Amino acid sequence: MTQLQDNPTLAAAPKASLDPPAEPWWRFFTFSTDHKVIGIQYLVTTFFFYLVGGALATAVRAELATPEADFLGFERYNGAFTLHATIMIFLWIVPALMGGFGNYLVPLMIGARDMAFPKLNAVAFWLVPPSGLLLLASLFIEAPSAGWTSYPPLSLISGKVGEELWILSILLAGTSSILGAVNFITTILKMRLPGMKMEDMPLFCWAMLAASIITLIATPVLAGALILLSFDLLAGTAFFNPSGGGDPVVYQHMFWFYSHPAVYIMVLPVFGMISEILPVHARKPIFAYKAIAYSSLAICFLGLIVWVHHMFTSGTPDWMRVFFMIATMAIAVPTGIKVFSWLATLWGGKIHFRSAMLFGMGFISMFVIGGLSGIILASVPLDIHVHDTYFVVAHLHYVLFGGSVFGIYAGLYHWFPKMTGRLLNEFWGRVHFVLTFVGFNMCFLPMHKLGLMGMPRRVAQYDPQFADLNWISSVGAFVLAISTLPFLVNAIYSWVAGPKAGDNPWQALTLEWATSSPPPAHNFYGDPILLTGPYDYGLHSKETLDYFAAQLQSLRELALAEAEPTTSS
Amino acid sequence: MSALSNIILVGIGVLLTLASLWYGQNHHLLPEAAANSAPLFDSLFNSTITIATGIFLVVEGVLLYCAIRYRKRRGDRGDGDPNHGNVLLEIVWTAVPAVIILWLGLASLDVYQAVYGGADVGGHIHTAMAMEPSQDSAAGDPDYAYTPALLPGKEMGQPELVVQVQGMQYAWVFTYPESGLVAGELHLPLNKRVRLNMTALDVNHAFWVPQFRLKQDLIPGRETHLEFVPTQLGTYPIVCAELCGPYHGVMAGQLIVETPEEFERWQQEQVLAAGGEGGALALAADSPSLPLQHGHRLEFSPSESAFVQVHRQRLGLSPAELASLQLPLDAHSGDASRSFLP
Repeated sequence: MTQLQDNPTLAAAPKASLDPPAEPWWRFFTFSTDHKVIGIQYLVTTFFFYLVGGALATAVRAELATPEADFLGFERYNGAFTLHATIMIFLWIVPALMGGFGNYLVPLMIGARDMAFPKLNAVAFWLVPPSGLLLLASLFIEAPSAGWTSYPPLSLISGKVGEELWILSILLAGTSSILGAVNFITTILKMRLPGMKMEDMPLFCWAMLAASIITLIATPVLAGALILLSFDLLAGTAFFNPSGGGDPVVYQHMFWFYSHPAVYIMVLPVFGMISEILPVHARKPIFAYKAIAYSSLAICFLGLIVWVHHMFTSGTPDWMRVFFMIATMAIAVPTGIKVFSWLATLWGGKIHFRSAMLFGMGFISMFVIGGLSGIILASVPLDIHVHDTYFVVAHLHYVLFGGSVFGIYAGLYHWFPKMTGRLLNEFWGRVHFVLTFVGFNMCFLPMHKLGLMGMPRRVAQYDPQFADLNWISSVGAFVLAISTLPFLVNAIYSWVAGPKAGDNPWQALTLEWATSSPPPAHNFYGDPILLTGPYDYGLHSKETLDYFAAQLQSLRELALAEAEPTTSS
Repeated sequence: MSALSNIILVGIGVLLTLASLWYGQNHHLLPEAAANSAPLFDSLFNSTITIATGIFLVVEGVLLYCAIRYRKRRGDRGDGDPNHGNVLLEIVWTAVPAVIILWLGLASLDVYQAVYGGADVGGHIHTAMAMEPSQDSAAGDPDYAYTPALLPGKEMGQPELVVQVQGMQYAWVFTYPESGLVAGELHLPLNKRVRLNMTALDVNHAFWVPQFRLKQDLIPGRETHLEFVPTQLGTYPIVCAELCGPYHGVMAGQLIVETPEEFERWQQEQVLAAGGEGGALALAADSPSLPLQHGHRLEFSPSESAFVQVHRQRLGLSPAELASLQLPLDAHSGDASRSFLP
């Protein structure tokens, strides 16, 4: 289904007429129903929010550089970390992965012309900017400051306006997620190329299927919790308010019923992307395809029955603590299967150290640390000591930054040429990787010890015995902040003036590389044909692949020639 | 596989094991252990760290080995070895983590049972938060009859001291039902089993003593419990671990473990100092204030103690009430005290 070219730029250059007609740049600012446009809309919008969330994180770390609350002050500090977490989760990682990469890649990978419900897809995207604007507005009106968990009764007394803005913003983002999930499940189940069985799908599609199922089951429960919280806040009801007989712990159950599975929404698509990226740059088939595919579904199922491990100190009864400990630990098995399979994929390969691969391997090395600290958090007696401390902050950032964000960067470097038709600069990619890797570990590694030694999370002021480690951590955060600059400049410059990428710069075998870069309006020239499996590296002779490539080329010429009289612009 | 590579592999395995075992005992990641619960936690933690270190070294080691050994050589345009599965290997790396988590699960249950067995930590929901601070001793509390826990549990013994703990923005109040004493510091006798009955007056708080490795949320409208035996003399921080408002970070108390004789003396002094003021509402004469973190104290005006206020209104300090209090701060006093006012 894809060609293997020794020199893609040369192969593409002489036949400029084979490029699709250029589409206007302003389509990115319209209610476009093209999944590729929507994917890029998501990625660019969410990256903007990533920068905002990052600025807030930098402010938080500046506050924590010294033990006294002398930078933001107590009240603004709580607003800063609440908004930081909310933005990073609901406006960056979830929409960037599901909306951004999911939208861009799923239809291309399964040979579809678009998503199943293109208009719904556009509606889902256009819910994100208002959601973000509400949160940004809260910065200037009244910042929500009860933490991203927003536990009552605190959330009911820390400012009505800010809290309600926060609730409305998340309801919009959550609705967007649900609409997206419906679309992905339908698209993956119903719109695959004829002849592509489930087990012929690229693993990213399996991961998106699992993440969408979680979204569909769990997000409505969060919406319910937030609507009830809204009633308590504005109408004086007492669903969660103990002074009226409500139970604040019920909120915690409803909140975590979504928010723990949300971790898998934020990491399963990354697992999928890593399963795509490693084989391409190691020139080897993915190891244990079926195990990786079905472990995504296992994580999806188990992920829905572990939420109480966030509540081991909330006065939960014994049986709950024991059940949820065992269920949580069980997730280590499917996750372990994936990690070991990735290592086996690298073993015996021919690893090209491009930026995408650096971030991909960086993902494995960092995510493992998050996984191991996760095992400690699963164990009830161990969790009781470290719950709500900096140990948890370290853990969640190894999962969501070392895991998700490293994965997103790997994906951006890998698919940027497909999305824009241009290559990113490799040197600055490496600089970006080194700065990110060093800054990340400086920032978050010391937090493990801080938490174990006795520093709680969400404090503006702390015991001076923790000053040294906090200072290292803050310097790391500043390095991390600076590390985004090389990427930002590289991405903007390369999008405009980078070298042409050609159709398939990495000689990859999945379907998205079998069309032009960027792909034409309906993705493929003629009907796409499945000529090889998605990971058949080393399985076909160079002659066979050249033959496939030639076939694709003539199909495209045919398709463009037919289209010639009608397309005039 | 040649004999040499077998030997190298075994050698690496031995080194990894030794390194993991060493780090498991020498990680210096925990504060001192000062209660019966702490050594139990520490041994489980150390074993977990040992295993985690082993897994970490294997994964990172393989990753680094691949990065070096299997890097693409200059001029090589071919693909790697098209091996895409090995059932035996997959069974091994499914089974090994499964066995490890099974062990960790059982070991965790063991420790959990030893620390909490018999103690009904779950707590009981009260219908409204405006409830009487329980003056009952353990024996008199109808809810407290050693509810059979899920785990058969060891016989933990009756607690020898019961303390009522109240959390409010941003202070701890400790009531000793037997003597009726109310204090802002938690004094406990060495080697006696203690039961804390805890409630929150306003928002959620969490009672955490890092040196005890124990933590329990305080939740308005329900009572939660902790039981433990302090095993080492000393002064330990009581940290609020659940976000409770802007000054969450300064909500810190002190826990003083002293000999039973010292504890008795302290209790008598406090009761005397309170001098019959309503009997139960004694205020520590030498500390008409609540200890905050590193030296700060939340002072109360002498005319009306905060404790009296709390008991009268059964509410936490509202921001307006807080504003009427004085918070002396050291170096950075200017800013912080101003921002304390809403």
